[in-house]
Amino acid sequence: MNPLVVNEEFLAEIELLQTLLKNNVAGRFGGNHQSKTFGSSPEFADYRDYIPGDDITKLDWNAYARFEKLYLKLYLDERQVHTRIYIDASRSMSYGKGKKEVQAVKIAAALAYISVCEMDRVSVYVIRENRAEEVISNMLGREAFYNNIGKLNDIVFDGNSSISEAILPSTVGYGDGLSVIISDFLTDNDFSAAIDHLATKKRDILCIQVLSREELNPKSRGKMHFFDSEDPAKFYRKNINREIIRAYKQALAYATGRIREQCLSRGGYYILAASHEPLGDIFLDKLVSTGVIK
Amino acid sequence: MTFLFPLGFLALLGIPVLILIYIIKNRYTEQTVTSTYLWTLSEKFLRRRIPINRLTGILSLILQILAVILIAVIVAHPVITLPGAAQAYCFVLDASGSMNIEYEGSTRFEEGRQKIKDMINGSVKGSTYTLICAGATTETVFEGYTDKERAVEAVDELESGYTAAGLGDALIEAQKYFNDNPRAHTYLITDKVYADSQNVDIINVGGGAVNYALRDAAYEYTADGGLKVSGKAVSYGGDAEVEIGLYFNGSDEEYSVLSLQLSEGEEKAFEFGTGLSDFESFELRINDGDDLGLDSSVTVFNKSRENSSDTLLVSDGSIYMEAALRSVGVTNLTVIKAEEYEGQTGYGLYIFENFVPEITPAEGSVWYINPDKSPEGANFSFQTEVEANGAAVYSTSTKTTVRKMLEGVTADSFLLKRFVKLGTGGGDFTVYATCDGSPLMFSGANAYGNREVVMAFSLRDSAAFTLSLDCTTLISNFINYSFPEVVDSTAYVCGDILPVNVLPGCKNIRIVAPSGKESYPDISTTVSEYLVSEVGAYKIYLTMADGIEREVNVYSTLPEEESVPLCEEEAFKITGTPQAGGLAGFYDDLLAVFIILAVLVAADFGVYCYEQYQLR
Repeated sequence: MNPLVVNEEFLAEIELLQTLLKNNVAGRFGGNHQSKTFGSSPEFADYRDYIPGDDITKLDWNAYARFEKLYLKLYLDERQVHTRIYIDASRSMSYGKGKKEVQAVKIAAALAYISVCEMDRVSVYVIRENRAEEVISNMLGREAFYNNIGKLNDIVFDGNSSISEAILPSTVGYGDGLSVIISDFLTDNDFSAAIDHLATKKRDILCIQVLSREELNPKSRGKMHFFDSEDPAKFYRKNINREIIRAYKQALAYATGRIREQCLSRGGYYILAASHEPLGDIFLDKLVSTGVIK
Repeated sequence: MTFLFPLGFLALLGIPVLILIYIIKNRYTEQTVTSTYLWTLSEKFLRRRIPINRLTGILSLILQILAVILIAVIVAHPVITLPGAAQAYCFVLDASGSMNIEYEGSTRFEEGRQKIKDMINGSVKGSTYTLICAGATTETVFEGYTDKERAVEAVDELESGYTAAGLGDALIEAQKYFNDNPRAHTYLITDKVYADSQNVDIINVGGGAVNYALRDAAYEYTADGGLKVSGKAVSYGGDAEVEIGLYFNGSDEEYSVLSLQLSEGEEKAFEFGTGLSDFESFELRINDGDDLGLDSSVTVFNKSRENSSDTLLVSDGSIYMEAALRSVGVTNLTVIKAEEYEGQTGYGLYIFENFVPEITPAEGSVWYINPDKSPEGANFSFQTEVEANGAAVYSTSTKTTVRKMLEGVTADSFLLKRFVKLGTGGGDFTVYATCDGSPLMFSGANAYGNREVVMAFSLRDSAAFTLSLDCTTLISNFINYSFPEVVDSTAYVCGDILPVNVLPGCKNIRIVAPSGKESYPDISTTVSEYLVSEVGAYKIYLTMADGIEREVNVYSTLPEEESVPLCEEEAFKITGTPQAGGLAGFYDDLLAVFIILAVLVAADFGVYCYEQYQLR
C-alpha cells in the first residue's frame, strides 16, 4: 500500500471533514454518549424517592422543604464507547488499479478521528487469513490519534481473509460501541456469522463495502480468462458480451443487497463506497442518509 | 466445367490463413482480477442460451470462408461448355446509298446495324462473328471474332455508303467464308427484296418508301447571254406534286421556284431561265420532305470559275487588256492604276500593262505587257524600243506547248507599229510570236519558278491584233496556261473516279469530303485519281510552289439506282451443304457469383456490426 495514505494532507482533510460534520449533524460520534442508566454527569435527568443507603449528597433539599419528602436527584450517566474498526487486508483489496485499500484506510482513519474527537476509544484491526490483528489498540484522544494513525500506512494487503473466522474468536466487547467492517466482501466465505456475533454482543454494526470502478462497471469485453487474485485456482472464462455484463450487474446487485439485508436485519448499517468516491460524499451523504451519523 | 485460370484456386490457401487468424484473434485474454466471485455469481443470472446461438461465434468465420471460396471460384473463372449451343455468324451488310433512307427516326443502315448488334449480343458465348460490308467496295470488316464487345464496337464504327452496293462481290466473300466454315450461318441485311435465296437468312430493313430525286442538273448560256438551269425530277412511292427551288452561290434565299407534277417512276424535265450571266454555283432543291434527302438536292459548280483564280491588272490607264480579260470570262478581276500599285499580294495572276514594277511578284503567274525596263526577278531584260519593220509572225513550231498555246489562232501574222526588244537571257522559255527576229510573245518561268507570259508590245500599237478574235483566243490560252484546269468536270456520281490534274509546281493536294474526311492523293503522276464515295460537295485544295492555295469544288450525287426505295433482286444464293450442329457454347457469367459474394461480405459486415453493437 502507498505508505503515505495517512499523511499531513489527509489529516488536514479529515480535520475539515470533522468540522463539516460538526456544523451539519449531531452524529453518533458527536457529544458524550449517554447511557440508558443514570450516572454522575452534571446533566439533571429525574427524581426518585430516597432509598436508604443512597448518597445523601444527591438529596434535593429544596424539594424536601416543599414536599417534606426526601427525593433523590438523578443525573444522566455518560459512558465512553469503544469503536472497533476491522479492515479486510486480503489481496483483493489492493489488486489492480482500483486503490480500494487506499479508500479503506482513509475511511478507517476518518472514522477513528471522529471517534477520538468524541473522546471514544478506538481500536483498528486488520483481518488477515482467519485472524484479526490489532494495529491500533485503545487509542484515546487526538494526541494518541496523531501518534498512532500512521500505523495504517504499514498495513500489507495480501493473502486471503475470512471475516467470520477472524472476528468470532477475537475480543469484540459487549454493548460498548460501534464495530466497523471495511471490506469488498467479494468472497464465498460466510461473513454473516461475524455480523450475527457482533449483534449478539450488542455492538452497533457498520459494514462498508469498498468496490473499485472496474468492479462496479466492468469494461472488459471479448474472450476473457479471469484469474482470482487471491486464489489462482479460481478462474472465470467467458466471452464477455452484453448479456454477460447484464448478468454481472445483476450478480453485483444481488451481492450488495445480501450484505445490506444482513446488516439491516441485525440493526446494523451498510454503505457501498466506491474506491474513487470522495470521502466527503461518503461521510456527508451516505453515512448521514443511512443514519450512522445523525 | 473447365476453369480458365485454375491457379485461382490457390486463393483457397486463404482459408487456413483465415482460420489461423480466427484462432489467434479468438484466444482468451488472460487477466487477473481482484475477485472472480461476482463473475462466477453472474452465471446464475445468465439466461438459457439457444443452442443455435453457439454458431454465432463462428458465423463470421463461416461467412469469410465462403467468401474466400467464392473469390477463388471467381479468379479461377469457371466455364461451362455446352456443345452445339453457339453459332458461326456471317453477316453481310448492304451499305449502299439506298440504305440511307430514313424510317421512323433512323436510317435503314442504322436499323441493319442494330439488328446485327442485337444478334451478337444475344448470341451464346463461343460464337464467332464475321462481317462483310458491301459499300463502294466490298470489305470484310472482321472475320472470326469471338469477342462480342469487340465485334459490337466494330459494327458501331461502320458508316453507310452512298454508292451502289456491289452485293455480288459480297456474295463471293460470303461464299468463300461458307466454304471454309460450313457450319456458318449467313445473314444478309439489306433493303432489297430478293426473289430467291439459299443458305442465307435475308433480313430486310426496307422501311421508308417516299422519295423524290433530282437528276441531270446542268446549265448553259442562251444566245442572249442568259443562264439557263435544267434538270429532271422523279418521284418514287406514288404520284406527287413537288416544288423545286433554285438557289445561287450558296445562298439560302430562293432565286426561283417551280411546281412540278410527277408520276411515279417517271422522270420529268424542268428548266429555269435566269437573267444572270455568271455564277459560282447553284443548287436545285426539292422543298418537299421525303425519306431520303441525299438525292433531293444537287449543287452545280461553275467549272470555269472553279478553274480560275483572282487576277490583278495593273495598267497605265489602258482599257484593252481589261476588255480582253472580261471577254474571256475572267470575272474575279481587280484593276488598279500604276500609281496605286504598292506590291499587293494574294493574287493568282499579276498582269502589268504598260507598267513595270521594280520587283516581280514572288507569288502567282505574271504577265508583262509592253515592259519598258527590266524588273528584278523577271525572265527577260529590256534592251530598247524599236519601230516594227514588218508584221509580227506567229511561231510555226510543232512543239506541243506552242501548238497548245496557239490553238484557235487563225492568222499567221498581224501588223504592229512598234515593239520592245527584250533579251530572254537564254533561259527556259517558249516563243509564240516574233517581230523582226525578236521574241514578241513568249512564256517561261521567272526567278520564283512561277509562270511568266510576256507580250513585248502595247495593245494600243496593233489594232489589227487587239481587235481580232485571235487576241481573245490567245488571251484565253494564256489564262489557261496561267491557271491550268484542276478538274475536267465539277459533277460526279458516288462511286466515280475523280481525276485531279496535278498542276506544275503543285506541292500538295488535299481533298476534303462532305463528311470532313481529308485525303491526300498521290501527286507523283500528272493525274491523281480519287474515289468519290460521299454525296455532297468535295473541296480540293492545291498548294502551289509559291505557297498559294487554290480551292476547287465539285459535287457528287447519289447513283440513280440508289434513289429507288424498293428494289427487287433475283437471288442471293450460297451454294453448298451446310454442316449440322453449332459450335461449342460457353457460359462463364460470374454475375451470380459476384452477387453471392457481395451478399456474404455484407452479411459478414452485419455480423461484425452486431457484435460491436452487442458489446456496447
